[in-house]
Parts: sequence; C-alpha cells; structure tokens
Amino acid sequence: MNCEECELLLAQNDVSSQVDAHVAGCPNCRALAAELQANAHALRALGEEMMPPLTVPERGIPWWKWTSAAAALIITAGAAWWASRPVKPPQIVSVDVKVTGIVAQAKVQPIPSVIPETLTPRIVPAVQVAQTEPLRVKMLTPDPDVVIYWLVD
Amino acid sequence: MKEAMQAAAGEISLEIEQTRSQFSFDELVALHQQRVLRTAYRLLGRVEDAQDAAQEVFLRLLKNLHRIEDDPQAWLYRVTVNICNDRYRRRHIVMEPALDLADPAPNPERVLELEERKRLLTQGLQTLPERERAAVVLRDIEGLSTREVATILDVEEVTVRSQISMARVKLAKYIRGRK
Repeated sequence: MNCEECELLLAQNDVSSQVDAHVAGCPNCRALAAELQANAHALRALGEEMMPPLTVPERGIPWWKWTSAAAALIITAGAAWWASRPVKPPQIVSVDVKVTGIVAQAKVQPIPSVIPETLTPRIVPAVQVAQTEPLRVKMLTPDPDVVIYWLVD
Repeated sequence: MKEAMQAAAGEISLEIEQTRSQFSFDELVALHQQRVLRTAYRLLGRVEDAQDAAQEVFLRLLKNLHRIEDDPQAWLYRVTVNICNDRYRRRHIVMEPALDLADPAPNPERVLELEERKRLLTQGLQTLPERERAAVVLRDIEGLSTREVATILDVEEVTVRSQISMARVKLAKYIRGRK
C-alpha cells in the first residue's frame, strides 16, 4: 500500500489492518491521520455554529420610478396650465379689403376698433363685376393659421 | 419575513400559490434558515455572500412552494448548493477572516486550537473543487448521510464517498501546510 492509497482509506475511516500497518511505519500518514481526526471534530463544530439571522435588504423605489413620476407630474401640470391660460384675442396686423360688388368710389370711414389706423385702407377702388357679392374684408393676424374675414352685405 | 421577501423581489401574486402548499413559508424559513445560511457560508466563505445566497434560496422557495411535495430540506440544500456554486464561479475570490461564532469555553488553549483549525478549514474549503466542497460541507459540517448528499447533489453514493475522501485529505494537507 502506498501513501496515496492509505490517505484515501484514512479519510474514509478505514480501520483495516493494512492501513494500521502502513500508518505504523509511515510518519507522514500518521500525521495525516491525526489531522483528519482533528478536522472531523472541527468540521462538526462548524456545523454547530449559529449564523447571524437572515437580513432582508430594504429596497427603496428605483431611481427611474422617481424620475418617471416627476416627469409625469411636470407634464400634467404644464398641460393644465396651458389649457387654463387666458386666451388672447388675435392681433390684427394687416387688412386686405376686396370689393366685389358695384360700389361707388368713396372714402372708407375709419373703423373704430382695435384695427390699427395705419392698416385701414383709405380708398377702396370700385370694381365692376357681373354679380353683386358682399364686401369682403380679410384681416391677417400674427398667427398664420388665424385669418379673420368680414363679409359686409 | 414573507412580506419582506416579497417586497424585495417585487412579487405580489405569490400569496395565492402559497395557500396551495402544505408548508408555511414563514415556518420553513424559521426552521431552515440556519442550515441554509451555514451551508452558504461554508461554500462561499463570506458572510455577505452567504446572506445574499440565502435570500435567493428563500425567494426561490417562495416561488416554488406549491411544487414542493416532499421534505423541503433536501430541496433547500440542493438549491443552496446550486446557487452558491453559481455565485462562486461568478465572483472574484476574496477571503475574509473566519466568522467568530464560537461560544466561550473553559479551556483557552484548546479553544484557540479549535478556533484556529476552524478558521483554516473555512479557508481550506474555498480551495476545493466545487463538487468536493459541496460534498464535504453537506456530509461533515451539516451532518447529512452519504445517501442524502448523493440525492441533493444528484450523483451516486460511491461518487460522494470518493469526493468526500479526497476533500478530507486535501483539507488535512492544507492545514498541515499552514502550521
């Protein structure tokens, strides 16, 4: 029996006469046998130790949830403010008058309104057309999507 | 414990599953917590890692509670070993001093010798291949039978005996080399 075989048999707690004979004549295996015995005791002692109790980490709300909630709040508040803001009347920046009926040449009285006086046409040319149509006044505002028409009968 | 684990995992719907099981989660945690923690600590060698592994084990238990029909101890050991092996492979090994968990005893010299041996064993366990480490932890530290260890590790009993023998010899030589 060589030392390697003896070591494995010692580790299996083999107490055969062959092992005893080898250990008796082999200081290395004798020392190993003593270590194995001491280890068996220490390993059992490790199994009797009490561990600190299991702790469950407190997990806060992830950062992305906070930021998402904050973004949603800001967007909602912004939309609410936008919807509730006072609506300003459109500001007229130019007036374009087109006479489509038979109208005698005359001075157009200044319109007492918010229309800037500089934008009020002084002279409206008379245009001969086949059919009488209402006077059309087109007013432009700073918003290109907002155009005001006056139809004057 | 259950609520905390659920909150930690973001799991809400597991309550229904638990009611189908014959085992109470809280009871199982109370009963097996020390075994799971101790096994994880011996397999990983670090208390924080053992805590993390144990949390993962009990989260899996919570999810799979309704499927466990036999004694959950073998299931818990198996899952603990698997989780610890996964974590052991992933992590960078950093040894820490052995946890001082021993009770005071009357003979200081023998206590010191035993504590030193336990510390060295804790270190030596980390040098073993994972299968040998798992086998010796379950057999020699947890005190399970060879058959139970074979069932948990899903290997033959003869394989477990061989792994344990090699592990014991390696541990003995490890300690001899550091005396």
